[in-house]
Amino acid sequence: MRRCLAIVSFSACVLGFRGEAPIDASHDLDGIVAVLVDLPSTPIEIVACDPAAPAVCPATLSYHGRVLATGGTDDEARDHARALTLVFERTDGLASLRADVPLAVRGLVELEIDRMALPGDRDVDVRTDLGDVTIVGVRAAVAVDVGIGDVAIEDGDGGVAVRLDDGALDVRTPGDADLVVDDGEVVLVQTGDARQVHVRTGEGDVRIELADDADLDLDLRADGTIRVTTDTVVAIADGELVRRVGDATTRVEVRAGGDLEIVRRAP
Amino acid sequence: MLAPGRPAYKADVLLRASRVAPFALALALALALPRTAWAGVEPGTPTRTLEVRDAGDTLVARVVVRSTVQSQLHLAPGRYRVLDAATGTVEEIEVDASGILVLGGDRAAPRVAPTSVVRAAPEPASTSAARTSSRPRKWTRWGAPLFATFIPGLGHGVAGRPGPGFGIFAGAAGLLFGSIALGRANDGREGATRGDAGRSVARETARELAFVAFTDTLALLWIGQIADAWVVATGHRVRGRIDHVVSLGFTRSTAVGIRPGEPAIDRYDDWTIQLLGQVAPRVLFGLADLGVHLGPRGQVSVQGGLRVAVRAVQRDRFWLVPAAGLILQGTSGRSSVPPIEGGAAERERGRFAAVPYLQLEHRIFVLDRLSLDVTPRFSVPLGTRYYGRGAAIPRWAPTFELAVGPTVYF
Repeated sequence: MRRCLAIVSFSACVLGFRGEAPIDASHDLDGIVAVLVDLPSTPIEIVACDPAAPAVCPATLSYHGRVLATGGTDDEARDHARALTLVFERTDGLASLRADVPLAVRGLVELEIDRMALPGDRDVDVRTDLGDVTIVGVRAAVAVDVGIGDVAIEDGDGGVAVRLDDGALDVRTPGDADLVVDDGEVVLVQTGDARQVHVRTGEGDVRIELADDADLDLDLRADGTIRVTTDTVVAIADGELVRRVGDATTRVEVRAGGDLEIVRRAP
Repeated sequence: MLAPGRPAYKADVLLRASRVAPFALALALALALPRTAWAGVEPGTPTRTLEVRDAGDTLVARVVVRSTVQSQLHLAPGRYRVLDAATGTVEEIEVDASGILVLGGDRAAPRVAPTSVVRAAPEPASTSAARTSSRPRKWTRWGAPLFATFIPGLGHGVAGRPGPGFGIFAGAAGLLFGSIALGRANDGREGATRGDAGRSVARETARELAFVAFTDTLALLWIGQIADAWVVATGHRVRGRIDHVVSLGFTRSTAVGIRPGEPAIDRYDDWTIQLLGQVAPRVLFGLADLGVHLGPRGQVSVQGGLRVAVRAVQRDRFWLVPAAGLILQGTSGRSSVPPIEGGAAERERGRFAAVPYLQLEHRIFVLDRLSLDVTPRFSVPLGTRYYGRGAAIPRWAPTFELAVGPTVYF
């Protein structure tokens, strides 16, 4: 069997070299209110600092990571890694960070960002095809659009919007939440006051911890079981549950592809 | 935070797949063997080996016959010599317009079929070498390949060969389920997590290679058994058309090898068409590797090339064809950085690559005008070679490919 595998391996294989190049930079964010990070497949971790302490939180977008590449020779692999660059552009109050992958090295390079840092008062919009995304400390709005990967967001006081094709989503925010996941579980924890919630999953369970249950407008549908356990609403239903409590000022609209559980956040 | 939810790698799939693959491949190749290799011989029955040669002393058939059962050959009218290898006896025989030569039975020597017998049969019972006499229903000539098209092995069943039919069905089912299992064992989330070392390169390589072997073998088996069902139903003797003018082939070339980042291994598939003419006896020349690859950001690769091949070895059902060629590929694509204000990105300057290669084609004929080809190929791209899904092989990277596919001869 080993001989067979060796023969087959030798009859269909590509031989080459791997190369790597660091990619580090810092860009000025003075006058910028929103930052778009649109990168090819890469995990992204953004840690926002407190802008109230400028000594330790400069108005810059900084990052470090590396570019991985392949080549027919050792030198070519390194050259390919150096060919990918990140482009930082400013337009009025919007800044964008995108990858320039020349056609010559497309398919031969891959980006891997270790960490990004920026002040927490900038809106953040992150897009990538494949990669886990973690965003911590952003006090403004957060938007994330990911193909495949797990997404975790803490804070996002200005509201959180996520579109995720395949992966698990964990959001802990005091802001409004608009979360759409095709295939994956969703956990949403309201860490501030009661806010609007809109969640939709194609396939996957949903669990929501509400900050307050006094004035709820529940519009819940799920392919599985719906369980609501709060001080004002206790219900178990299959398929659909609509309930209004108090002034109904806090709308919670959920379309779950699996089970749905809503509880009151532990004090 | 939620658990990543990464599915566990299905190592047992690989193990099972590697056990089944050799048997399935053997089954596919066995279909291409000449019928004389297995037909008409039963254990425990005295047999003789007869050689039939035409007037030019060319070996027409080598037949193993039983002493108790008559076998028929369907030949062009003319004079033939039948040599009994055991006794050394030679008999001159004239085959009349019916084309039927009966061998074996309780007679000590071969004999020509009486005209009355031939006329009595509505259809020649068997026209291939060493096929025992039987009277297949007329509709099986088209019904067998038709059934085989939809359910592998069923064609052999309706043609009166349920044993091989069941073997084909079992082989195809195993290959199909194995291919699905190996495909599903792919982890589309690999590379998503920073610092994730990913799977073992050896294991991932083995999975990809097994997937290639399973899917290629399944395709060859499926096509081959359709053709063989017709051969069984008609008793036709397959001989590759060496006098063809043009051949049209459809090929899947696959290589498994390095890619940047995780997963560290990728599969490079190239689906192409070739159109070769026989410009001189045994010499084939023409267009090859015609295909298109589509990638992200409007990336389009158009390729084609030239190939010259020589039929170095030619048997009735097998050719060995060394070949050399050059793939020319042009690629264009849009910039990965579109204007921030919106709108389409500008097109980048196109890329051009040439890929010279050498290959050794093994052509196994399942019909006179249809062969199944298995071809190892070695190439070194002189520029970046682009594939679909945004994959690419860098220049100077030695590439071993396995190409398989059917070729039709006109």
